Amino acid sequence: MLKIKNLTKKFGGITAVNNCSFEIEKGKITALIGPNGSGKTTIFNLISGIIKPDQGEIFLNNQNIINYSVDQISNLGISRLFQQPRLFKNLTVKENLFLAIDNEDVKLWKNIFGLNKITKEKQGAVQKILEDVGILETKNKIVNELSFGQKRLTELARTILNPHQLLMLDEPAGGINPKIKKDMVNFLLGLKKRGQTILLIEHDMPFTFSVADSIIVINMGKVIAQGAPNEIKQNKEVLEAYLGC
Amino acid sequence: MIDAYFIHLLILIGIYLILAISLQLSLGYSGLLNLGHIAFFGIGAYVSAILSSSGVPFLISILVAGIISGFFGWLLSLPTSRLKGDYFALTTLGFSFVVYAIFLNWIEITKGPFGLPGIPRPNIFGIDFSSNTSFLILVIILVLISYFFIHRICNSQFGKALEATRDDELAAKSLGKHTFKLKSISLAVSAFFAGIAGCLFASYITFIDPSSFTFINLIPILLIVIIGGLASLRGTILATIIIVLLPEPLRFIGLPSSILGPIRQIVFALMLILIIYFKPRGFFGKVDLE
Repeated sequence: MLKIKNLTKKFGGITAVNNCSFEIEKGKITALIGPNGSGKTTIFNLISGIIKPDQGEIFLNNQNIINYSVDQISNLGISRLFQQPRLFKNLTVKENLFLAIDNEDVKLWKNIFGLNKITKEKQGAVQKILEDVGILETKNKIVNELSFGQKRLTELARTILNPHQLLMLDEPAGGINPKIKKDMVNFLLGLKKRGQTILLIEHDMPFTFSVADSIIVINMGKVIAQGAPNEIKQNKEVLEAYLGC
Repeated sequence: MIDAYFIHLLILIGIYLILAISLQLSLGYSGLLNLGHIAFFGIGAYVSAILSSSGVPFLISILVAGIISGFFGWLLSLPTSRLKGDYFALTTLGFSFVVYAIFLNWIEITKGPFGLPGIPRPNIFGIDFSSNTSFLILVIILVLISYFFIHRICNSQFGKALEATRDDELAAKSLGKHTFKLKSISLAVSAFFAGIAGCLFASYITFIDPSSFTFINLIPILLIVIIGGLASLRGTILATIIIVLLPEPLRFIGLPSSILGPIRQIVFALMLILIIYFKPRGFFGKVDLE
């Protein structure tokens, strides 16, 4: 589904991503792991079009998306959860979510004359996702009033509601309590059962190993290992680079 | 006498209200600190004054004034599309200086510092609006129309997408929003209504010159938006009434006009300091002033 080919990105003298190549399979959860500063989030930024690579190509379903803008990439079907919450802080949870499913909100006249309504279908979709992630009671709250964990779940719900073929989740379990983390494992496995494709960055190894079908290990911008969770656990190079043993 | 003075104040409140709610759309809802807003007001005033003085019917003058101001709003969005915060503010401020310089120096059209006198009062389908009472009715109608459209925009999903862009443009883009288009439309619509307000101003005062469209004239409008609260239309209404009426008692103290102007500015500045200190979000603001 997603193919990364010889991707390189330098910031001044630092090579953040160094000739990186890998593929993501449809319907699977793939985890991108590696030490801090290894280039994982830079790869996410390159895929979602926030920064452009110095060289290399990115294909989504055989379509080269390297020159596409962030909104075009989103509209092609890549939906991303950021490492830090990036919610619309002065809007309610519900309003944040409606924005993810409304693709006619830039049509001025349709909006002025009330032709772009929030249908029952859209309301139902928002209600369901809020129930699924367990924050239904917050739906009318302004995002600024939420706890960190609630913000994380709201953003996860928004990312999932945004029409997509590929979900990119940057540390979804970061900063949330163990109970919610456990629920999130089941939630992600549920998404996979429904055929969703997920690319995940996560530092919590038990969490990663319990959801991922495939793991790609990045160190200093390079792919140093790739395989099933059990293979990665035994890989000496990975243990040395990532776990320091 | 009191009635005439009261009507005059209501007309001013109406014109300022259109100007302020249109600035609220770009500043409060879209997060664009647009210091060029006064230029759109001026463009609307000059376009309608020139057209009306040449015998063009008022309805066409006002529409053309709005459309040309809106066009310049859209035009301004092109070079500023990647700018944010202070940089956006400075660029739009520069735009207002350029427009002012054009008003001042394009003498063949604008008559420069001498201004354009004798702008006719509106006449729509034979209905004469030359008296202040009838002009007030026209202002009320245009305030209602402007409020209706801006309120509909702000409360629609389009308005929510604008607010999303204001809060986090990258996150809005990541949801597939064409944020440049959203901001361009917002600036164009905001400028359109500023142009309508400019047209009303020109036909009410019946004389315009460049001094009415300098940055200093934008300050009370900015003050209205900040005091009323960002992203709050009802706050804007309340603040417009207060800001227009607040300096009025000064007229009756008997101060010379050379002192009256600076005192008015001091009153505005004090009001701004007090509001920011005691009520940082203004009367009904939904957004922090950042």
